[in-house]
Amino acid sequence: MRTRRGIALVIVPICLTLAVLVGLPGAAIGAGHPSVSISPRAGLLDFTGDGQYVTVSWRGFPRDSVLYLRECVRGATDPLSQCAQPGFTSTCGDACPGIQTLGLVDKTGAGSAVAQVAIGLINVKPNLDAIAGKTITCDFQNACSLFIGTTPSNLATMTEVPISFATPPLACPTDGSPLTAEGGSAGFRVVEFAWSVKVCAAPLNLSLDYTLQPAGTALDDYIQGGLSDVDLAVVPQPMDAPQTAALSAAGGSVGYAPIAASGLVFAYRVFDQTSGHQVTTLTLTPDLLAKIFTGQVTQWYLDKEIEKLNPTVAFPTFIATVGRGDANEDTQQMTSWMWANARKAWVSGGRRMKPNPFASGPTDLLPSLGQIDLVTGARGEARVIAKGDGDVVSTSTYGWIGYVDSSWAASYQLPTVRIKYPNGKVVRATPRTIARGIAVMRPDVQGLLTPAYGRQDPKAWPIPTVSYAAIPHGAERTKNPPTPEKLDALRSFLTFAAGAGQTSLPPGYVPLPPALRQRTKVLTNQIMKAPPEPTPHPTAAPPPPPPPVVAPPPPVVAPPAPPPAAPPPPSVAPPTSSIAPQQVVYVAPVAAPVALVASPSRLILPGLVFGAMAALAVGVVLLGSSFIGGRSGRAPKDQGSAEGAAS
Amino acid sequence: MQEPETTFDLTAAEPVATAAARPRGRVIRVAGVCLIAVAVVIGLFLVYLFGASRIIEERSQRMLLPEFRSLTQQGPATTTDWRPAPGQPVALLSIPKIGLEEIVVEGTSASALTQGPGHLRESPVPGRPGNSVIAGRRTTFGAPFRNLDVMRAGDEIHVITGQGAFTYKVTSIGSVMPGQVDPISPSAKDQLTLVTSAPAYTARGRLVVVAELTSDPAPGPALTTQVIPSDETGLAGQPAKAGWLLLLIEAAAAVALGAVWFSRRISTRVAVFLATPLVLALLWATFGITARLLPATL
Repeated sequence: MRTRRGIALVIVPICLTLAVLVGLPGAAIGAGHPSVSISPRAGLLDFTGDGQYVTVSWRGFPRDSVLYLRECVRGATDPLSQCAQPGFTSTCGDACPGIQTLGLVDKTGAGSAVAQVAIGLINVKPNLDAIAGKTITCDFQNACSLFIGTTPSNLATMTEVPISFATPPLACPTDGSPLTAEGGSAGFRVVEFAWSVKVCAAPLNLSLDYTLQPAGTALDDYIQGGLSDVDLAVVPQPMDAPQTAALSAAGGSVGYAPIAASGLVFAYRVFDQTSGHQVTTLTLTPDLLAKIFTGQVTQWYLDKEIEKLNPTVAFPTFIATVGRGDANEDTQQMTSWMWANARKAWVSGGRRMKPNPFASGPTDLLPSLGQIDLVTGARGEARVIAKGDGDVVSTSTYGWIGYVDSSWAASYQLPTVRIKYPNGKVVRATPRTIARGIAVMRPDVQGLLTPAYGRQDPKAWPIPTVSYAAIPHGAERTKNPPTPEKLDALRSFLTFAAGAGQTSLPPGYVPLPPALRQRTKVLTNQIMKAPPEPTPHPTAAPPPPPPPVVAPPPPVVAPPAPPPAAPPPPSVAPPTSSIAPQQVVYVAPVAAPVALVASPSRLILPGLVFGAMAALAVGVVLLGSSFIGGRSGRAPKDQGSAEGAAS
Repeated sequence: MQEPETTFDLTAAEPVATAAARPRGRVIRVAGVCLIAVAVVIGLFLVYLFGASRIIEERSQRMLLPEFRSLTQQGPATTTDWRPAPGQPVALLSIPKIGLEEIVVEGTSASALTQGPGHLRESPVPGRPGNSVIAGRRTTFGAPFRNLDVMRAGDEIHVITGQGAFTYKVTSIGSVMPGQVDPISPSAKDQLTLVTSAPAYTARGRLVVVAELTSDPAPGPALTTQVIPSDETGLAGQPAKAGWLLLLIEAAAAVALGAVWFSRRISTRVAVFLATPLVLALLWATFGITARLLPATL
């Protein structure tokens, strides 16, 4: 009997203690506490009329429940008047429905999905007329939130994630000095949406406009000069021979100033047919990519090699291959890479046709094939991959793959293909690999950098893109020469692009290496000034900086502070760079600030302290009452209570 | 077998017959003792948290020092593209004004901050361009940032990394409460942001000291903006660690059963002798886990 009581008295306090220690934190934060993160959360903008694509990741939601997303004003409580409503539209039309289904929560309670955030007026009639009492505004002046949860009709049960929006180009003053750019897809995102809103403010006061055009067209318009009113062309490739001749005939010459660095990626949107989740890891070989883009593989689930590379993915019945129907620089880059890495598979795509359209080498115009969905324009291609096209929108039957610039893949939140080379090495498109890919580019005869398409390096993305601004350089164009005001505007823009502009890059871009920024600075100073002279080599060493300041280490620890090791030079380095420490300016992309959020963890400690005080008080009262009660009945030796209270 | 009562058995000392006759009084007494025991354990936890946990931090600092030396003396930390792995020492932070000299460890989870001040993983390493964020505890685990509130504009902060020594000058100090802009957000300035909890014991917001780099920054790799996991913002604990408490309950039950069996079959004194270190170790482990559920910069 006594030992049984002993057991009870040993186990009960220990278990109680632990139960309290577990129970309190459990009640406060609990394993099932739902949490949601949204990427990006700040600087959202309406990208080409599609709103903003965001990736929503969640954790801790109940299994098998359906998660919904609503867009409402900040701190909304009434979904009927403060949220996007199903049935009405917004600036992104039907693409941003009032209530978006994120998907079914699986057994882990965690997952992620891509959603579209509407920007501007929300809840309007199809002709974008406001609806009284229902229309809300979400933009850079009107704060909004996304609400994620399982009951879209009750905002109190949903998790609120505040979002903020970028200043749109439309908010710029219209009286700045006009500067009109035309150019390819790689420069579009940063110039039109990030830089134009920065340079329109004082002190630059530039009214910068960027029209998306294939690189060839942009250069043609630039050569026209004043007639087409294009002040600079942003292109990843130089002029071809006829264009150069046309410019020379007009008495001008051109310089190519690097302003942005990104990469061409193979972007896809494929949903796993077993789990229903979007596939985010897809590995393909160069041969497979060549077969896909020449229409030789369309039903991926039947292909043994794709299955071997991606054993866990259940592919849908059809994967639509999306290509560009117009002649453009992206296709030129894509086919150049195919030609260098998978020539045989590429050429065999046209083996039944006479003449074989794939046998002629890299081209800027894809041959027309029934199996490939040819879309005009970079905007069109990215849109079809991200949303489907016409009847082909069901993710349970279709998937999409295409090639776009990395900035577009980032804007549309599209995952990108990992390339597995024949040597077994795999390269992924990340800011790091793209930066490395830029660093290993080689200068061509004109001094422009060409990607090392054939390089099979797991650390360097093989299709990097440097966007150059084609600008007047050296000799003045006699026909339609730019005005001095235009040249001033051009100089301030280029100074910004190679300087502060590199610190505000949207996702998908990497900062320009210092040597390229230096090249832009030199070219900027030579606009219409010096007589024609060879453009500086892109890898010319910048002036050596003062040696790094190294303070003596303190006595406690003695880590020597050697001079910073210079990173690998962007390409063929002049011998001096190994001697003089090169000033390397790396910049971190700056995201818009986010708001501080208090954590429920802070409740645990006060809970423990109050719990201890309450337990002590109740315990003493209980013991005291039993002691008094016991004494009135009899006089037992009740040291227990005294002992317990004393400790 | 008829040994006198153990410490655990003291409350059960009344005669068996009486106990059977007065079951209600006994239940109340046991409940009272249990509640007091709970209060005592929580009291011990507070002693651990605000006192004894200092030992853990001091020991970690001693162990980080040689690792920091080897990383910075011709080690990988001297290169421009070094990215510290979680748990590695990143820098030596010294603030003469408050007599602080600590190794900064990579990561700002509650676990990482038990070792000393922690460097926010998504921010640049101190000395490199951008907003470097270092979080530290204000009241627990050695409380490296306990006197951060006396800092004033103009005070110097010295940081040594593998890339050299850097001096920052404090430009502002203040507290940031929920809803305001989080100072750990990236910024274009080359600065150092020290954060800890505010108010000191409740950690609802942050106490923030912002200091600007007085020299040119050292080169470093470009950072991609990432979402900071919620348990590394410095204000939250690590709820995932709560699972370990279950294991500790099982261990406690096993120790209790073993001790009782031992006292019945062999000797109560020996049982107490053997069980005491085990109970202490379990308590220590439980306290450690519980401390990780609390806000990381507490």
